[in-house]
Amino acid sequence: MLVVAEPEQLPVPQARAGDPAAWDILFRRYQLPLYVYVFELVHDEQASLDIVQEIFINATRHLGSLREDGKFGSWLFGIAHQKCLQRWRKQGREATAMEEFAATPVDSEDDPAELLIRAEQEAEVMKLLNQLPVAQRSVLLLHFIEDFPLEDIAAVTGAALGTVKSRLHYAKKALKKLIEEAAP
Amino acid sequence: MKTLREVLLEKHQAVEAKLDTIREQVNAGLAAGVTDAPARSKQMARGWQPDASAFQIGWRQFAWSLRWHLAGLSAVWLVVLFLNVNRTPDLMQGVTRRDAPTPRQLLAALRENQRQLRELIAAPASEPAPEPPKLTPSPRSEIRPSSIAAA
Repeated sequence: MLVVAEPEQLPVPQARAGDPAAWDILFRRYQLPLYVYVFELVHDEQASLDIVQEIFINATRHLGSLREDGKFGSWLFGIAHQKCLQRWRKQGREATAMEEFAATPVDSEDDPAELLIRAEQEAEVMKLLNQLPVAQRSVLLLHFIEDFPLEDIAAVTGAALGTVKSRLHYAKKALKKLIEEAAP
Repeated sequence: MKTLREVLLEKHQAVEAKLDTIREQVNAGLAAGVTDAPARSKQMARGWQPDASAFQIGWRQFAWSLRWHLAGLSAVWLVVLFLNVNRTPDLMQGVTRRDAPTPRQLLAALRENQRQLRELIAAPASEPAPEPPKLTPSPRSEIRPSSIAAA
């Protein structure tokens, strides 16, 4: 059973005070979403687990740098994003990833509605998700996994708000097209 | 029908056990760090205290046994330094005094140079060069009319 809590219910102030029980609640809440986000970007289970562990350790060390307790989730995903970038840098993939991030066209159309996926489409959807450019995939994952507002996604990925909008739009459009095509 | 979120989280549900292990490890480290930190630091301080004091006592004893040697060496070095500082300007002055010629010597040297120059310039004028031997034109042929006549 997935544990989902509203940001205001999270014991961030207690964690700031160094309460291990508070940290346990926070980690329990975010461990799987963080893993999903990291895995879908790096596609390596062991590396993803290592990154999640590093995120937890970094979070306990640098919680003081978080200004708003309500932004704990996006702050955590921001660490995750940076860890992925570091991994790409080590692998020499940073240039490619950055090019993909920069190459996303800008579009001002409204986003399509929430996507609903049939059981038989799941594999296809995951396949398509992996075919998306890293930048679009990243934005799409942040939007769907945590339902972050666009401003938070922009903060996590370090991209401009307009760019985030267009990336999300293109990613959702591509997914919707596939789902419609696959529909009987 | 599922949302993409549900699809994604369910796809990776199997890794939850590993994530739990990681979380527990981090939490254990955190709990140990928070609760044991002061105790550990005290223990470390206590652990170091005997070693540090033994080292200090040993060092003091060693330095104390060498106190006269160190004092003598220090005194010698001070004397050397003092003498060096005092004598350096004298020596320098001595060197400059010894090496620099007096004005009289300079004048004498200058006069000597002038004399030598004068000698060099005056020498060709006083002694005229010997005249080159006059060339007498010789006859084209050795056979002279008188010799022919004699023959």
